[in-house]
Amino acid sequence: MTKTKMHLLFQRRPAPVIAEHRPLYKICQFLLVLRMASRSGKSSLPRMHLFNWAFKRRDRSARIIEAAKSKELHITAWGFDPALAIALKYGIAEGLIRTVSTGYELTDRGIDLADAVVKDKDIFGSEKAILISIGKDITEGMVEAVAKDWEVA
Amino acid sequence: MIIRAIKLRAVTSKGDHGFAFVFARGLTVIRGSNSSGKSTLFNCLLYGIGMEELVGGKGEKILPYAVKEFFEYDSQRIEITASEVFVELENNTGNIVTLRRAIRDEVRDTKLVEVFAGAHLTTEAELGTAIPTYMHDAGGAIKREGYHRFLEDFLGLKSPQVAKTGGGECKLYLQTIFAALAIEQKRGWTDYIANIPFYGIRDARTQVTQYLLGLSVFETDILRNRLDADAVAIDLDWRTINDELRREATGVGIVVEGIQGRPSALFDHALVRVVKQTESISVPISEYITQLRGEYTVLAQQAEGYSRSSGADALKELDKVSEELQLLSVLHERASVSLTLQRASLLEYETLLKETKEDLERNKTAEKLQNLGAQHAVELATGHCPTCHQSIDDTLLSGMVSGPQMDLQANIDYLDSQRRMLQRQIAGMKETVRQSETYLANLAARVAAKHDYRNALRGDVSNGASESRAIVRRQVQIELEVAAIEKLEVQVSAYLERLIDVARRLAENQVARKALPKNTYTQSDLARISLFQKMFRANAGSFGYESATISEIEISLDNLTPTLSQLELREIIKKEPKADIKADSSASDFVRLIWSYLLALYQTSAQPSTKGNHPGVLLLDEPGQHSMRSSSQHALLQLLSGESNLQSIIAASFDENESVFKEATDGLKYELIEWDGKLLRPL
Repeated sequence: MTKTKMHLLFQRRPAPVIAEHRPLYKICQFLLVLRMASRSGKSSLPRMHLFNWAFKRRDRSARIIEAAKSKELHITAWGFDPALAIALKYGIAEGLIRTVSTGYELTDRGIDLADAVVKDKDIFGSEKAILISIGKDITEGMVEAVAKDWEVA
Repeated sequence: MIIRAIKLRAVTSKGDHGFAFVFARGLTVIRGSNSSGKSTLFNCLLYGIGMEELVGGKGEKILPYAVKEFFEYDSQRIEITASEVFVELENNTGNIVTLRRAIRDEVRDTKLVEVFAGAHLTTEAELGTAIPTYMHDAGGAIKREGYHRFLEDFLGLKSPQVAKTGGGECKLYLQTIFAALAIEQKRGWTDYIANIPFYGIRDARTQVTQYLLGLSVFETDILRNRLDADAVAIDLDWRTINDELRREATGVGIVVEGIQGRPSALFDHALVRVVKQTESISVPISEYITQLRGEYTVLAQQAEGYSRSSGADALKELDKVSEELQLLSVLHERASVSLTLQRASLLEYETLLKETKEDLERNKTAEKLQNLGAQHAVELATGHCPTCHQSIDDTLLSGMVSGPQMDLQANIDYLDSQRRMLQRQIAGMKETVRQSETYLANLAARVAAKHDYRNALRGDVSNGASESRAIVRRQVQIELEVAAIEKLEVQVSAYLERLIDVARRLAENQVARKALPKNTYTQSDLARISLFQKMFRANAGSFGYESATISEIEISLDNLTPTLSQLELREIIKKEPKADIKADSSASDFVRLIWSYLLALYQTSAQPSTKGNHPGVLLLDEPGQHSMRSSSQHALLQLLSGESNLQSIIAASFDENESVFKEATDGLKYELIEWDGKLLRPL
């Protein structure tokens, strides 16, 4: 039996990226949250993570729509996504949002871009539908009430 | 078309008030300072000829309160009880009509336009009997009593059928054509033919331009549209017939092979095979019927010898049949398991496809956001860090994932190819499931038949009858099956006839499509467009356009608008503010292009060699807009008055400056309409 030398060559191909990990996608998603579902364009970080968590699956979206209607949040915990944190950092650097004592707030540029996104009927169809049915009914108070149980006693 | 005169009559407690003016057959200048009622007169004229939609509304809403509620005269407030507007029109055969339309009236609706024969305003002719016509109701452009239908006939225009954005076709409504003839001052000067009312007509502006220039594209367009609609119908017919045929065949356990899921002009009915499928082989039905008949004959012989045969024979037959039944049952079991699996994986593929489509949708959103972001000067849109301006990966988790990542376009292409692959997979799977279903139904029928036969045999064995019920039963089954298959054969040939017909229609459709001209424009169309371009450039030159080199401006063949190296020429916003506001701003340079465009439309259409459909009237409200140089205004008026067959009515304030007015109208032949104080006065 003769021994033959084999050479295997691997070529690395680019891997696909899910759309919501594109910086602009996530930033604009949250410009929408601030514009359409937050009082005076402001929101705390845990509340934004709640929306981020809810956008990811249909059953979760249904639960927060339900919560907005009943004015009571029966979700005991939700995921914190590093992608959102990074997106918010980018948003601040772009001057679309700024930090305030209670969380984040839209800047005038952010409002302009958010309005342009709202106006374009072809994009963010499902997110807009969710945000419209929620309105501004998920309040900081509701989120606060759940979040305070997380603290170590 | 000539607008000969206009009259507004407002009935008040202080007697009739209003205005009456006669227009020249060439150039008429309506001069008035701002807020003197110039636009009121202009809009009343549009309202009077039923073109108020160009101002952006339907009915009397677009008119100011001064002609419908109250006005002030001699510092008294005078209430209007009723008001109406008259317009006298002449067509190119010299026929004259007077239109009457109520603005405010207890009795007459504002949708009603009464048409009187004769020149009532200029010759005091009796009004006589009116022909009532209506507008803004469905069918106003088509029905005989529709006003726009009347106007179209009167002007001798024949507006073509055009495609709508949502499919289907409609007329190129007269109002869209008038948008290139009458320009109101608010939005009218913001774009070429800016004020086309919305009717869902596809590329309305281009269609209007094509119509006015008399291009021959409409027939082709409509033909192409019809062929498209036909192709859809053909596809649907084919699928329906194919589905019905399969359903009928499956019902009697027969398979039809050789018909594709989609129509093809190459369809050959000789290649269609109608077969009976058993375990591994398929036999043509003619052969299958022969087999059944053979079995029938054998059974008949057996029946004859039955009384003589022993019980052992019957037992032997029973054993044999039981074994066959077992085999069939096993096959049935297996087929039904595999069908369940196939259905499950079909469902899985469909879920995957749905997810891929959603993903694709999201990625397209991301792509749009990049454009939107770039417009809002977001640095990430160009792949740069907003803080350090270095280029960065287009993903939020670049620190956490190793290896190269797809860029957005690659990602979209990747998902798109996934989607296509899944769609093919699903189509194949559906076909497999359908085959399995047929096979299973076939097996089930055979199991049932065998089962009956075996039970009958058992009966024969136990009661020792002189006549075998089993044989009779099997014979009945065969008779029924043969009858059903023979019926199906007739049906199949009827279905094939229909399929042949559909394939023939498809072939015709394809031939007709081939016969369509390859290019949108014919040679003579191109000649017209090039003349249009020449006229446009000449006009722009005389109006003093200087934002770009005029000889480089081209009329785009895509949408017939002026372009500079493929970019549509619009307002050019320059950063550095000019010191002198009176000097040219680029906004007024864009207005010059609009003048050139509107005038060139008429000029090209009026050429005897390239006669188009322009009705020969231009109504321009405040064409000077903001501080246009008076020499440019002069050039416009000069060109307008020089066109012998064009009636132009220009309303302008000339910057409320006598010297500007003098300069702009110097040495020109025109009719002047002006008034002191208020427009409405005792008649």
